[in-house]
Amino acid sequence: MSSFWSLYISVFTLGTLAALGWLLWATRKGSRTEAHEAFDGIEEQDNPLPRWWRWLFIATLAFALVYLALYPGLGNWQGLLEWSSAGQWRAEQARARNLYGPLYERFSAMPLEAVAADPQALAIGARLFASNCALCHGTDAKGAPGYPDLTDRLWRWGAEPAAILASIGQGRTGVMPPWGAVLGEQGTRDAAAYVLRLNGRPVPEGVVADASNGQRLFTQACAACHGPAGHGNPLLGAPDLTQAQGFIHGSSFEAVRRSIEEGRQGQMPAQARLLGDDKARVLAAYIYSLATQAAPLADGEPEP
Amino acid sequence: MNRLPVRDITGPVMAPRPRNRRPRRVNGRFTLLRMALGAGLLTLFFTLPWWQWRGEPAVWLNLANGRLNLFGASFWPEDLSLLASALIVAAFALFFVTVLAGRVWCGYACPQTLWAAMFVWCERLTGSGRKPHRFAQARRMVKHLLWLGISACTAFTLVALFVPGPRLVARLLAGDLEATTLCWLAAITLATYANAGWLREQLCIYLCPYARFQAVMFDRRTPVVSYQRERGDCVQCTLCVQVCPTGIDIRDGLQIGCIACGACADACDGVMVRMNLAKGLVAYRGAEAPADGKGFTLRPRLLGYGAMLLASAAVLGHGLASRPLVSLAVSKGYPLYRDRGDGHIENLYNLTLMNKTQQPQVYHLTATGPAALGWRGKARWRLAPGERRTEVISLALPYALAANQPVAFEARAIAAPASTGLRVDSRFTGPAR
Repeated sequence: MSSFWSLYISVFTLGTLAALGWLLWATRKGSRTEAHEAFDGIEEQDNPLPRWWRWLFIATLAFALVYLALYPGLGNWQGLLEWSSAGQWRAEQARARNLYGPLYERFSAMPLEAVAADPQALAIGARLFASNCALCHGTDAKGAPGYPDLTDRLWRWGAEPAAILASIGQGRTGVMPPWGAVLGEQGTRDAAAYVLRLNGRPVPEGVVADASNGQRLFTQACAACHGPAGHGNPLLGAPDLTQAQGFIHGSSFEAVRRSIEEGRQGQMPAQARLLGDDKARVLAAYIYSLATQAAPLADGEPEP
Repeated sequence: MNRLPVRDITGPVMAPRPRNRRPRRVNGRFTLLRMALGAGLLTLFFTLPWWQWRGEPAVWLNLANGRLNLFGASFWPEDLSLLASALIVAAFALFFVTVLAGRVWCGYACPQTLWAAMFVWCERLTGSGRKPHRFAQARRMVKHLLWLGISACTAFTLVALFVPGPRLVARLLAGDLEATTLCWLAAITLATYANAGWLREQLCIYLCPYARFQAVMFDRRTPVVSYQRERGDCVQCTLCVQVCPTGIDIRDGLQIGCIACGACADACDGVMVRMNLAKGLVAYRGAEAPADGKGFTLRPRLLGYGAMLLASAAVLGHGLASRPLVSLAVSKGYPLYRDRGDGHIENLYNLTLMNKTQQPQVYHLTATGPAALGWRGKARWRLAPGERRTEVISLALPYALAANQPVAFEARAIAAPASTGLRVDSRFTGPAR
């Protein structure tokens, strides 16, 4: 706030209080005797305020002055208590840290594998997942088109707990460059046919594609990231192409062909700055437990 | 216009009363009835926090869990509408009794009357405040200690409806009560002490709304404590005035201060017997005698309130009987739908189930829709009393049937009657075609 507006607000506020004080002072006696107004036999008198009422006004004026001295209200004046909404928020954060700090401290002292076996940590992790992750990865963590399944033991960026923590905390950016212009239309189809062969699937009927030519193109163009045998590379986030269920953009011939032709981009946002390291760690342990410990949902349930 | 004899009492009643006036002791049938009923009600109140029902307090307002225990039944915040029904039943019961028997609630059952009577009894026991007396100071001190003791018991009993009695005692003895509990104990103790010690009948006369409107419900047969001036045999002993807990003179007619306790009728009957005169100079009597000479006839107002009482009780009873003892909430999960890759489209649902009974329960969950739905996830849930749990359930339909359609989840307690089953509607979402 510029000093003009600060002064403007202060003068108006204090001026109003002063004017109200003067009004109270000026009307303290009234004019008891003569009728102020008379109409139709009804007389309006000008009596002073009852004393309790006047003191109530004076008390509110005093309250206003004390309040304006203690709290920010007069332009740039910060108040003697130095209260601010941001400060109050920070105090609440500090309170929460004090309250939950010991809980998370216990988890930070444990290796992630041990946290992943702690029922309390898993309960917290499940709630964190539901509020922060489920929107993209699905309520059951089994993914959605473009978002990987977190329960299937296939990891693009590494299966170790530390790699999962890094994916959550720092985020990941996966880029599959478009190869359509380089390989040409037939070359793209050939490469897609070879990728299907990598996980043991035939090309759909009616599609003209030469998987052998595709293998040659794969060695030239794709092996750099996906590896000569197509097993992927966790350093680049290149998926293992021998596992059909790892194709998060679709595993059909057409989907694979399109991925090669147009490329794909994936973005996992960094959570550490939003959640804090402690929560990211509990979350990583929860995700790790999903793939390593949780039994997949089965049809129905055995009778108890 | 035949009106009930009503007198403008604003003058005399507003006049200052002597401080610490104490109603004189009285014997008689109404007094006996009043004492017996009062003793029963007070015993009920003071023992209430100690009653157990299958290992839990029978009456327990468990604020931490948002639950009210009432003799084996649990009530939750969503059952609050039942409280409204119960209050309506209570109101009509009060109206019905008022038409039938006058203001007997005030004289026989109202806590204000009972606590004032207890405090007066303490005064009598210590003999304080009557005359200049030996050990007057000590007697007064004993009286106040007794008053404070009763007040503390009252506070303890009320707080023990929120914090179970045994636990409250243990924490009191260990000296680690929370500040809130301690504040409530102190506040209720002081409020009771001041109310029953000094406020007493002034509450009935100046503050109580029922005292103000109860006369509206009277009809001409409603018995009120009344004095038969036309008999003309009053001996002017003024005992009826001396025994009155609210300090009125019943010979002035019906007035707002009369709590219909019948103490004056008892006092007067005693004198009349000794004077060899007929009893009943002051008695419960309607303004108009019934035609058959008996004390009771059916009147439109009585029938009307009776009908309303029965109707509201029926509504409450139905509400209690049909109250679901399980709660099920369904919210759709993410993503909107998923191609499971095996010829099925699946939808995810967050199911939150709560056991509202006081026993462990096993619930069977099913989903129904226009087509047969494939279910993945827990189908049998074992829940502890009062437990609430959320699980993810997946429903699947073959591609050909996976259009948008309504589905319904149903939770049914395996070991409980059919009335505890609960259906909740939701939707299945399929790809647009």
